[in-house]
Amino acid sequence: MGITHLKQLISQKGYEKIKHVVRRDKLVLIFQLFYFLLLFLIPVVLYFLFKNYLPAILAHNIWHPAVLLGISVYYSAVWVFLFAAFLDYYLDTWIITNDRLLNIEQEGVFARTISELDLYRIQDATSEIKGIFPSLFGYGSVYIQTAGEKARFVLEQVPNPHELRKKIMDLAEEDRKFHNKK
Amino acid sequence: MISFPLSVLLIPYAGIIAIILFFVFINIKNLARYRAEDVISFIALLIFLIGLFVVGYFSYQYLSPINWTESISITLPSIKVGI
Repeated sequence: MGITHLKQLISQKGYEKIKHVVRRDKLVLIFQLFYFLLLFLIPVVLYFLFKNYLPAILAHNIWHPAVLLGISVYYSAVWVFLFAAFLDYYLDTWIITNDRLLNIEQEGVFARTISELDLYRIQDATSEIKGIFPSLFGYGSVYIQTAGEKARFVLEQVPNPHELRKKIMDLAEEDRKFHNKK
Repeated sequence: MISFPLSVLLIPYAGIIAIILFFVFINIKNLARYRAEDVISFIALLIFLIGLFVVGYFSYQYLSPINWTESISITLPSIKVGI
């Protein structure tokens, strides 16, 4: 990730250092790409079905151009939604500094949410790996309980959640010591 | 019996393609705004634009041979009213 862009995005403070930049596990994107690959194959399957069982439709003077127009629209839409799904994955980021935890979430095409949490407000954290694929590939969620306005922060489908939880708690402890000295 | 040119089918097609292009524009805008300095973003955008071009090219290849000026007729079912 471009570091200059990142610093501008979080309005980095003078004493603040970016410790971790976390994104959802790559397998989450791969599973979505596999789903879109199946969507791409649907018209191909339908074409062979029409060719073998309903050849009249492919020869019809109205249905044939209508089917072609429909397929053109279908592939255009699937390709654009695939890109939107990639952006939804790639623009979701959790940035952990020595002072804050930032949740930057792209919610669809028209919404983007940025939440901040001061590390010293973290009360406790829970990490969870649940399900067949998460267990096989080691990704899961980290739930952070806070004393702030937003009571719970969730880092979803992140790699090595147990390790990440420990890192967050260590940073929170250091930040609490820093604030207590003040 | 109603007759109309086949090109009438292109009107809703153009409308839907316009909506899709709007989403293309919004996606590119989001990427440019939030990932300005990123090689992966640039590669993803490049792949997306190439894919869009491929879809457009093959759409043109399959749709251009069709005679869109051909008139098509639809016979409406007759309604008999018994008085």
